[in-house]
Amino acid sequence: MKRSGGVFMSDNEYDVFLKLLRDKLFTSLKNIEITPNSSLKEELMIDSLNFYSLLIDVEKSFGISFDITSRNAKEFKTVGSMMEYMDRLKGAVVNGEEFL
Amino acid sequence: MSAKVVVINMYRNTFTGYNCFSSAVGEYARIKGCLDITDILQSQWIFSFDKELFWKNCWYAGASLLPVDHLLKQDLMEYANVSIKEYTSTKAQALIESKEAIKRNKAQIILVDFYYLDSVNWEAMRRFQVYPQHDSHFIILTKINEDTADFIDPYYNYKGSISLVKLNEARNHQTKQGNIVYHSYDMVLSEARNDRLLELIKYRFERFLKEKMYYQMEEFAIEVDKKRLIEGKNQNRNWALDGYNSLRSIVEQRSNLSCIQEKHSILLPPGLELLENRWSYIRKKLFEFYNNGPFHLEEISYEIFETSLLEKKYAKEVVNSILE
Repeated sequence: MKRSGGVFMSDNEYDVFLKLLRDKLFTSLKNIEITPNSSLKEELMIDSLNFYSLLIDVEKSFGISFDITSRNAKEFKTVGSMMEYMDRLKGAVVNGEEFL
Repeated sequence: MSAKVVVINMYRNTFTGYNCFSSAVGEYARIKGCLDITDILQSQWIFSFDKELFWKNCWYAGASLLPVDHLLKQDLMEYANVSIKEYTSTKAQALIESKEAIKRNKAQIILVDFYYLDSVNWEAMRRFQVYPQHDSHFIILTKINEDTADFIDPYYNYKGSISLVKLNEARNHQTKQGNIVYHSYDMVLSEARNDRLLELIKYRFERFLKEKMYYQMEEFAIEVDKKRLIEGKNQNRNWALDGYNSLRSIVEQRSNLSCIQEKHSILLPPGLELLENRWSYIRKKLFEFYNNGPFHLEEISYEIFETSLLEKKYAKEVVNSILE
């Protein structure tokens, strides 16, 4: 998955995020292709324990604090929506069209 | 390009209840084509907390399940004309009866020892030092094969199979919540109705206030703070995982009611999303503490206490706003 300019998250941060995300997946899903449209619950099958673990890891790595923490929230529906939310928390405005 | 999903024996569209009992009842009703009662299941509003169980590190201290959810049984009877019957059996008869029940109803709700199931990703759980335990759990049998049985575990969104040898162990075992003796359940759905939903929602919030369920939330907050004061920083943190598990029920209830509100265009006061998020935040904090995070029990206790006040306020607003 590639992203173009205008997004606050740098390539390095993006790689960090993907690594944190992959760490939470079932072994059988470790090589799954992750795109902005990948849904956390249905496609990546992140259960609640791994979901909260992901939030905690992201907070530590990115220096942000999630004010929305419900797994059912629209902010955590897909990988893309979570990244946009992370960007928002860092004070950046992200154009949702800018994922390639 | 969208993600390619590897099939790993998961079932993604199971019924979302607020505990394993309501999930199994809802899934069973769906299988039987009786969708009328699913709204009843997804508009529940209860909370229970048992101080003694909390200090014994029992995850179900606040999960509204011990193991059968009696309030839900009452609500179904009173407002949907649905009764749930419980049966016990013997080793010799259980499998025969299951086959007959499945032939008759396409499925059978049974009580099992969760220890024997693969419904959750134990491999992932082990990373957090979470291991199988002997807990009562409701699942649905859908087929008995020569050596295995197919089942759905709706609470964990899982569909899979289990060997008959293991199933027999799971159906006849002592669990933390009591002894399982080939328990099975059937529902009388022929006269089911769903025309009193608003009335039921109002009743549930009145019950929440009358039985001071918000106070049980406050009690939870008090006991969390006692953990901080009595046991200090070097305490065993397993209780926090139990607390985290037990609060799943309350989050699901708030999420489910939001869906019901949208589905039926019911005008409830704003605040459901806030409550769901606050409980989710508390769960996250409990898990963080369990997972060697900071010693922030005072904050967790305060959050629970504050949320209980909001719960009380919200319940009053609902009671005053609907069916007026």
